[in-house]
Amino acid sequence: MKKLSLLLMMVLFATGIALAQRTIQGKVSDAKGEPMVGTSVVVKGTTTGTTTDIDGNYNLSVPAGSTTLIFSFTGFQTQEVTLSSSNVVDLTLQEGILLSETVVTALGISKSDKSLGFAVTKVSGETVANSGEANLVQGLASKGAGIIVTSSAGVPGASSKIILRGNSSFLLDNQPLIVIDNVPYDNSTNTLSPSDYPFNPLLQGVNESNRGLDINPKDVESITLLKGPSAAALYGTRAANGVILITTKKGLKGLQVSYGAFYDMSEVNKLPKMQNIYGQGNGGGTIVNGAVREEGALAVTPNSWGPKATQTFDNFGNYFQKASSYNNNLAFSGGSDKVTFRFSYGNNYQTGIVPNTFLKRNTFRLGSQAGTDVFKVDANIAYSVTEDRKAQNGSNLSGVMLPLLRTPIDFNLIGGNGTGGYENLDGSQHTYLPNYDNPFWTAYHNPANGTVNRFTGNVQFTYMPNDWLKLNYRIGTDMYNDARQQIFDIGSNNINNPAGGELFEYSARHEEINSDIFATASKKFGDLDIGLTVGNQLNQRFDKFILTRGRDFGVPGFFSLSNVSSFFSDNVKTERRLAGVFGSLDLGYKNTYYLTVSGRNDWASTFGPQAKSSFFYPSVSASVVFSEWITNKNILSFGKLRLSYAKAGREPFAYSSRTVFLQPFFADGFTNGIGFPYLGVNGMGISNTLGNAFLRPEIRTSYEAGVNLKFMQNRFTLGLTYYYDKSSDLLVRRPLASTTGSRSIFSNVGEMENRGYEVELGADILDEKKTGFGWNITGNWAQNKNKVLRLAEGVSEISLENAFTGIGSFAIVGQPYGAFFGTKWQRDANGALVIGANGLPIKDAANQYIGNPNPKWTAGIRNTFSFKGLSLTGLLDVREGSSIWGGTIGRLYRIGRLAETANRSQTFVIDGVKADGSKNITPISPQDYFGKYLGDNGSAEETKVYDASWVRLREATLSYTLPKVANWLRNATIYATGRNLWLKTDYLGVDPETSLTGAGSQIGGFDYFNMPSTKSLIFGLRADF
Amino acid sequence: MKRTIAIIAMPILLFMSSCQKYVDGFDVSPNSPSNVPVTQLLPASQLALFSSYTGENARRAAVLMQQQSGKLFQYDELERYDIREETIQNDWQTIYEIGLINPQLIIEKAGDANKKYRGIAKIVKAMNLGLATDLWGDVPNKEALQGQKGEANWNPAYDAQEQIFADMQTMLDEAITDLKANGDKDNVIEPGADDIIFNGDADSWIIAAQVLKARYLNRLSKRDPGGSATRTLAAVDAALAAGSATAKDMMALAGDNPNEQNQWYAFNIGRAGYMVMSNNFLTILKNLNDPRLPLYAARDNQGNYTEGSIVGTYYGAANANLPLVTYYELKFIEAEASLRAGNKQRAADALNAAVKANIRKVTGAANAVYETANASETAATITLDKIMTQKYIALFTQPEVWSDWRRTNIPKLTKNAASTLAGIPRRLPTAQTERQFNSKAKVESNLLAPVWWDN
Repeated sequence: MKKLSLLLMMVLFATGIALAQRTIQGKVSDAKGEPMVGTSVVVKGTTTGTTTDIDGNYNLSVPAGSTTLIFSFTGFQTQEVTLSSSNVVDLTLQEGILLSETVVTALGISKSDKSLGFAVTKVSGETVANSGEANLVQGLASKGAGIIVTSSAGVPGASSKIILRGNSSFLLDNQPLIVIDNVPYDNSTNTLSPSDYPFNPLLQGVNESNRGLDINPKDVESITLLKGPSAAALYGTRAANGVILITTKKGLKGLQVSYGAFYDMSEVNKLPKMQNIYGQGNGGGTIVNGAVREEGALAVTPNSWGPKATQTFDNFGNYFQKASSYNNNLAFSGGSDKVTFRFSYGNNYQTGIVPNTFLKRNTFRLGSQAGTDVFKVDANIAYSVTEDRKAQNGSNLSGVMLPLLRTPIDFNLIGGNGTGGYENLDGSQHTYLPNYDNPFWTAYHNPANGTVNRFTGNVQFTYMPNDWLKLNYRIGTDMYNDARQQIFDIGSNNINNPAGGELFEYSARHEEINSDIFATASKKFGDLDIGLTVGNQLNQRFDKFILTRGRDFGVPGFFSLSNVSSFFSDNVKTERRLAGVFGSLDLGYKNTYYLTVSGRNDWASTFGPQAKSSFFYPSVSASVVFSEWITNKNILSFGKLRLSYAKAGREPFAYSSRTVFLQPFFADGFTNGIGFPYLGVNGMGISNTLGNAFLRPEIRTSYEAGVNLKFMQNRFTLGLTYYYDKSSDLLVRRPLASTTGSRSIFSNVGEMENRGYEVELGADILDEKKTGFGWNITGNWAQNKNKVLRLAEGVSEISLENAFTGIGSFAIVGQPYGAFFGTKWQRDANGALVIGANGLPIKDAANQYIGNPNPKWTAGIRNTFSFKGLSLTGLLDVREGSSIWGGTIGRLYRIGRLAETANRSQTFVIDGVKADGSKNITPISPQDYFGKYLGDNGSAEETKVYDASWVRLREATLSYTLPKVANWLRNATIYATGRNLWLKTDYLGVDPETSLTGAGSQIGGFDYFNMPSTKSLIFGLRADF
Repeated sequence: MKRTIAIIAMPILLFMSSCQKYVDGFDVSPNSPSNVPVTQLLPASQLALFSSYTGENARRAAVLMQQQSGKLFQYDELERYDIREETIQNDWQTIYEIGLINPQLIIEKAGDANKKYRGIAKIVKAMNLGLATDLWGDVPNKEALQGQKGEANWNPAYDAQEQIFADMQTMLDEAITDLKANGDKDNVIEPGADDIIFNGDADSWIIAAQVLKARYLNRLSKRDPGGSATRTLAAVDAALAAGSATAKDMMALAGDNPNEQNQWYAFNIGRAGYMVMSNNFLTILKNLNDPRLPLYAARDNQGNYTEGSIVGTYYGAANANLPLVTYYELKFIEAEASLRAGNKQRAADALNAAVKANIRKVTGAANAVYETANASETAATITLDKIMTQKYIALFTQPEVWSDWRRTNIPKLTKNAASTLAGIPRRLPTAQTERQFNSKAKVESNLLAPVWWDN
């Protein structure tokens, strides 16, 4: 508070001494005479400036003695105009030849593109909004080199995970930090899971949302992706994975109203192909030993190895519905020289392909900037309400896809005689197997309802006492409440409490407060530019959830905790703090040579009392604009070489320094297990993960080199980057043999490297202004090779996160992060399968490396054609060489549902050798071949590892901007977008861009009855008044 | 200029000095305690025992011993003996990471000041160790459970099963001594409701320890038929002398709340159709016209006892308690050891008593017809086959059945023809994490390799 009043006093003082001024006004237009909105107008040698309003007009108070104005706009030549006696300066800006683009980097400091010693990717807010994705993170897919975005499913609110340049931590979050208007924004994927749930909750449940979902993409002006740890010095430990810097739209002078709306129609884009000949049964026989199917009978088989079906049903067609989405956005902005504001309201309502699911999002954002040349205040608040209803997913007897895909072709899921056909008259479920919920039942009777209320706000004060110094104080908060309800109705097959029903009421609170105080000084001494930033950051995060579970409803159909027979409650609170002191020195010489040195010291609260809780990490980057050496810029118009070295530290997660005692929970892999309180008695046992009082920070060290080239007046651009980074002292749950009495201990023993190439290119093949027809290509290509270098003494593999029996996602020394580790067939010296006497291959006793879910390379190619207001753009997305564990496919083979299994009138001989070395000639039945060899009936997991490469048309948009019809209508555009319209992949299952465990998980590449993905057609309009 | 710099520098310096303070004190978890008393560790230890003795280990034994039949998915695989290092991982972890470590912590914490706690902990520990060695053969004991004391203890050596059996006897003897200590100084706190099994009743624990001594001495019947019989009978005598005939059986207690439920019930509800009554067992019961059949098995939906039946309510109701250590088991042990020792009359008497005790316990009444036919053995008629077949029936749901079969090959079982394994498994494979992370692990993946006492 004292500091604030000091600042205010300084402001008053400074404004008081502002002396004789005059006001310059004018209009800025482009070559076609269109007004240039948002052009920066600055008095040379000062920080005094303004921007043009939506009509291109500006109005600027110029201090006495000023001689020159500088006009700049991204993509246009910066122009200096010497002031005459006239107070009107109109100007036409020329499109840039030697453009000096600026990039918003850490702490919101704009730097010229030239001076950056590391690669950044810039994405405009419009590009993301035009993708039609409700989830901003998904909207970044394929938008730049080295950005890997993976959607977990095509259902409303499903999380998307983003990884920049590979994974660099085993246990800590690998996703970049999201920063909105310079304040950290939580992008966690919170999972509703009680502490007595013994398995990985991400393998089932619903498709949880990553909280980046609360951002309205239409509020985003621009996004800068800092892909390496280079920004960590200024953002702290969470920036070790890179930063997604989001700048929201700001108000301009003059009132403007913008309205945008779209309507989206989606449907399932890919499902496994099924056989539709044979019905339920075993060995060609009928359902159970010749008996008639009887609902509720125990010994019914889930298999479709029965006789030819006499009647078949389109269960998929009946089940999945065409989804739709309505999106409306309204924004008002305006202001004067001193104050500008923007208010926006966004509304998104989306129904899902699964019946009875939806996502509703209402967002409000208000931003205002006010101030004078010496003191500025920038304040933003945003409020959002995200509501959704989701359906059960994954390895789950109440999941949608598990019972749906297994449904025998001769069973009609809506053939019951009760409500909706999925029920019987007595209210029980109509099912082909009593263990599985009818997927309609699960959609209507087992909903997951959620509401997230989120508030973010920040205010920044900037004081500029003179032309070289800026003092900034910024405080921001991000808080939300996540309230959820999960219902399992009476009669559901929810594994934890079948039959009696179950209700979860969950409430989570997240609060983050971030304070930055920093000073930047910049001054030119002849050819030398010097910039210095020093500051302090304080960050506090608080998370708390309370979960209450009730079981066994008394009154049917009444879902309240007042109506249950037993309770379980759980609460977890996490509080952590981080304090950092940072500094950065920028040097520039002759606009050609640049050097940045920065360092940061952090203090983190999560270290134990015996450990050192303070750690330092530096970074250095340099660039040389070698095109400055040559005078003839006709061919090479710009060339820059850049080098960077950066270190980033990451503190361990909260409460890992001590061994604690927990209520043990006993599950044997099949039942809901037993746990405390037990018969009225509480009990606690030692945690199987031992704390470690001596933990150190994880260190990520990154080296990067690259060039940026622009040719032929910037018509062709090329960016090349090579990076190598090594993460060491990685926190690992160092596994222990159970016989030690413990399962693991937190240790800093892991080491991992990422190395890769990134290429970004752009080409203006045809210039619309010259030829009347425009054609632009942008492309990106990236390859990241990850390798685990070290785990712990004597440990060659560690499970990263529990997956399934027989297969997991592991860190294996010498293999990439997240490699599949599982059962493998035995092979002879020549690699032939070793076949047993029964005609089936034999499994190796020990589990091994069996596949890599990470892509070998990724690419995105965008073509944009423009002709008289018409524009056609298409984004092709390629992911090559990634593997997927197709558990779904294995099971569908086994139960005789997959299309291939229709081939069952013959026997099969598996190619391989017998124990004596002779060729295998033992025939096996189709049910054995598809079940025990290709399927998951005791086969090696390696058979289920499939190629998940794809080529897809991620987006295609045709838009038409109306010619100017009236003065009150500044701009009007109508467009049609296709999302995911075309997909090419060899994977037999759903769209291989899928993840069972989602963005809240350290692992990926698992498909076990995952929800399918979607393709959509979007029709929209945008208008500015 | 100087003033400006001072203004910038001051708050930063101020912050630097207080940065450490700002983050201090947030490392202690508000969610879980770092230390707990023995009154909390005891229930945790006992629940681990329930889980290990009545969960997957019990169901697996019942399927292998053809009392149950695996039908769907993982249980279809179990039916074909597809048991791998990862499928038994969970059961191994429960034993060591909860079932053994927590009693060990009680033993260390209780010391001489809380001998009853120490005694109970030793019995619980011996039982978990006994289960581990029966299933896996040589297992770590002496060097085990010291992981939290540092890296030097992260590769515990495997003790020979012979040694484990000796250690268990010592543990049980020490437990009996501890439980007999009644002075106030010996028991600063007395176990009560936190002793889920016997509610703090030391006498019940002493008897259970003696029955367990007999069980594990008798386990060595193949190794040393004569010596084991003599030693077993001595333990049997001690148990009888202590009043085992009228003592409470040690049961795994269950309740109606979902987290207290009997694990056979929980399995059949959650995994309906995975596991059913096996024809083999049903045939044995039907042929004997056994009154326990309607209690052991539920009727199928046609009203018959077939492989459409699941376990009945006696052992399979939500709140059904399951036997861990019983009087009738003691009598079966006595019968078998007596026969081996050549004392046929005692063997016959003990068998008759065992069968009658079990019938009474299960059905609630004596059954004259059945007892005349099956519990009226004499020195002339008694055979090992009769003893072990009746024990096979009476100890249904207990992992003991598998150990008994391995020792005696009774009842005669035919291996599942669909299995690629050459016989019925005689052990479990070494757990995956043990192979991976214990450099001293004795890795055995052959399910037919006998454990030491099975030789």
